[in-house]
Amino acid sequence: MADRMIDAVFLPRGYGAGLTADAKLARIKADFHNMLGGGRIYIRQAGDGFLVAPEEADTLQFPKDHVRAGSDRYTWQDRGDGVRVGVLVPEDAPIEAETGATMAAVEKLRARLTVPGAPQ
Amino acid sequence: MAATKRHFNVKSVVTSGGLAVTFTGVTQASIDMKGNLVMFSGDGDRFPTTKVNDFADPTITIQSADLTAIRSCLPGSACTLTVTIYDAKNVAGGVGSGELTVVLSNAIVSNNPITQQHRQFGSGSVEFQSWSSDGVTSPLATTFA
Repeated sequence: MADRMIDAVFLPRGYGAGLTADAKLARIKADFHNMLGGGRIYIRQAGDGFLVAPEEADTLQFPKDHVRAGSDRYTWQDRGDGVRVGVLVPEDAPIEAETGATMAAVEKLRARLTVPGAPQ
Repeated sequence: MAATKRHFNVKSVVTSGGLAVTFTGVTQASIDMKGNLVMFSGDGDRFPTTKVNDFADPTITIQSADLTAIRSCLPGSACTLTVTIYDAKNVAGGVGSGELTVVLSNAIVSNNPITQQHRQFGSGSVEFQSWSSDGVTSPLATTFA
């Protein structure tokens, strides 16, 4: 089991255009499986693309009954081809501290992230 | 052995969370996104000129001869439903290398009818509908390890 470097990946609907379904899955596995911790990962339709995440109940946004309902659960970074990698926004951070929490998440992402094929 | 990209028989159907049931004697698992398209036509159009997918209501229906398991799934029971389908050559390991595993989070039993005929095996089904926690993420996921 690898250390989890990121908490989720968002794939645009056109990800892997021209590839067979199996080839797309193989690419997802090669690119992100270890970064997501190397355990079971779940792929589901979300928004206008697909959310790839290590928990079966992971969602793109905070749930409807959360104080942050409607906003993303992740801080995203586009790797240059429409694929976004994200780290979780701390769920219990007070709303007024959200900017700081988001920036901390961005810094965590920048510090830990090495995305194959990403522009340097 | 490489995955065949073909599937044969249901390996397991298990619920967890608020309802813990392991189905045996599964004869069919139907996995349905229940996607909906809204179409537009106007003026002199004789065919739709625009179609959009506005909604989906993922549902899984399990048919089984395990009447006790079916009857224990009371309508309204919430759980997580995991269905694993064999690769045709029984290659293990998940999507991309064999088995297909789908998970329905936030599953809720809508109905659980059973039928028993004279000189026949009894059978029944459970329909699991689902809801989305945030309204934009599908509760139906494909998974691999």
